[in-house]
Amino acid sequence: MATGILIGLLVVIVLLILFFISTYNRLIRLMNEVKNAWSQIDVQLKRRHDLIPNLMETVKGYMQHERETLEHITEARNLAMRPGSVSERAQAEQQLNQALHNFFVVVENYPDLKANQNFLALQEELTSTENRISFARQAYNDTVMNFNNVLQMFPTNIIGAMFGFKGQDFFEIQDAAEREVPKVSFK
Amino acid sequence: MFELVRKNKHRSVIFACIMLFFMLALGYSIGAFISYCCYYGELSQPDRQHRTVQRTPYDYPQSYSQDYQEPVYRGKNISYLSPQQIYYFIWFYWGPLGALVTFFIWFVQMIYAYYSGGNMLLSISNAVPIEKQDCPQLYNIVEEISIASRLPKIPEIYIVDSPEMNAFATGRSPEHSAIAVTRGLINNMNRDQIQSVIAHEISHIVHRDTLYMTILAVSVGTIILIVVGLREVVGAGIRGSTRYSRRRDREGSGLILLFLIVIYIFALILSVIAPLLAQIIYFASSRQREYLADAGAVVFTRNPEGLASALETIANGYAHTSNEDVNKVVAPLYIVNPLEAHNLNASSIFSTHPPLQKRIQILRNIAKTPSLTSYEQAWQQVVGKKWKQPLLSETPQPAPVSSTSSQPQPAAQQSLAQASIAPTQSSATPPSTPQQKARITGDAIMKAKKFTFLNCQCGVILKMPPNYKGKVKCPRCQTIHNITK
Repeated sequence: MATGILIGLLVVIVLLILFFISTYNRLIRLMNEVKNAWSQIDVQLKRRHDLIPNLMETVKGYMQHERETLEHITEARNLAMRPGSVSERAQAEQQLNQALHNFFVVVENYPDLKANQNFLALQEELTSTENRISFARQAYNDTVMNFNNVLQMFPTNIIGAMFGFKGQDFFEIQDAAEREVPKVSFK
Repeated sequence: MFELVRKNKHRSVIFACIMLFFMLALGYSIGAFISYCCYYGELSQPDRQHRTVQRTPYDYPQSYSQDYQEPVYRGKNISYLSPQQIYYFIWFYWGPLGALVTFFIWFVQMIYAYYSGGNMLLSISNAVPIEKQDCPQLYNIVEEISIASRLPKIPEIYIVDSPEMNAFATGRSPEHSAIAVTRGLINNMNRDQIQSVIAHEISHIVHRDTLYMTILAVSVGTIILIVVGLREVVGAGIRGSTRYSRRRDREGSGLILLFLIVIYIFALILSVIAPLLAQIIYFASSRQREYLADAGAVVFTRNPEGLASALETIANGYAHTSNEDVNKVVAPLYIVNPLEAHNLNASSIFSTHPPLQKRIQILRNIAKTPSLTSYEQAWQQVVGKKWKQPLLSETPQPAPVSSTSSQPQPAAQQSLAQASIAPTQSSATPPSTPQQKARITGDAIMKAKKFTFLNCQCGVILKMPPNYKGKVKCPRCQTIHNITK
């Protein structure tokens, strides 16, 4: 009888230890997935930075009169490439976004440029890069949600608290203006 | 996305388990049934062990009777088994043996399909691998969705040079995956639509649908193989024993013949029911996987309208084409099955895809935030049922079986004669005779092995092995073809 209880206890302890190990490893794996997803955003941002010199080279001949717009883009790019804190870089990326947006509005006035094969290819690359950046953010947020879900649910939350795991932050748009729905008035 | 994959995995395991269990149970029952028939004589005379058997010299040849020893198993004389022992043998030896043999057949096929299935499908559909400079936009789109789905590796991209609009994905795992897109799809769709189609295919890859469907398809194949194989072997046995029965003593062979006929009837019934059941499970899970791939695509792109309009465009593209040009081997893999694209509401238990109308409606019903829950809600609104496996309940009445049955048509002789003269035409019409089916399959395999297909002026198609050089004489019109390559 006594040995039976002993064996039962042993089995329970072994199972508990196995559960601890597997949960801990799972949390670590999910954590690393979050980190990897974060670095993917950087990879795609860098891709955008690398595209910009090419773009400038292509459009320079066509857009003599838009020097200011082009300079804006180059400036914003250089700013964004500089190492800094996350919020600083986010701000710089925001500027770059704005500058590129202005640029594509201006391009509408240059039909020659819009017919240039090289430019069209670059435009496709830029479109794709924008998509990649937003998909990378989306994937990052999904991994964060996954991690937070696991971390906050019972019984993983006990083990998570024991080893000091912390919930991760979502990637959110810092600029409140960008989040706002554009207003259309018919006056 | 995460609940989606998790739910998906659970369902797959259940479906695959049902299928494998069915297959092994079939093997088990065949083994048990045959052994039961073999032991029937002894079981019907349970007191036989108490009888003294008088052997006459005529029972065995002279030399044999001298050397004859009673069979011994683990120190026991087993020439006379008690009924309990016989039943033990049937349930715990012959039955499991049948299941084991079935599993072995399945396993061998599975290994082959696992390692070469993907390449075979790509070469059957004449898909050509492309690099980034060949089609930058498609390449970019695939990379974008790979980022969104966090695939470990970007799938290889193939283009099928065909004016129709379609796409499919293969590959045993996300690391060994490929996406094939038709030229028509790239030319006729906008970026959002292509993106949605690619997302659907990548969601197939993420869910490992190819591997899953391969397991199911190989199981269906194994079930058909063992059942039809049993039928054919026993049928041959019956024919053989009736042919030679006069030479042997009639009492023994008469009994054997009776057993053979009983087994034959058993196999005949199985060969009708078992493949049908297996195919119903297979097609039901295929349709379910399409719904899930749609859901996955929406989760990746967060753009249900893109996929809905893409599906519509694909269906419109097929509105004016006939089924003749469709590659039937690859058809079930496509995002929209070309054979089912004519009728938007077409649905039967033998459909590989859910009705298009329903798929589009679900996508359009998805509320603001695309997620699995909203897909579920939309699914409920359209189908009017709970989000459960619509295994057999999805279609109330049985579908017409005639299209899938392999019964030879009355005109089999005629069409066979036609097929041997003009094989190109036979592959265009739906394969009706086993010979035509075998020809199509054989052609597909030869194509995959990179055979050269040579059209002779008289209509004969010469199939030459790869790397063959020299002269070939057409067997029909004696024209000499020179192969230099």
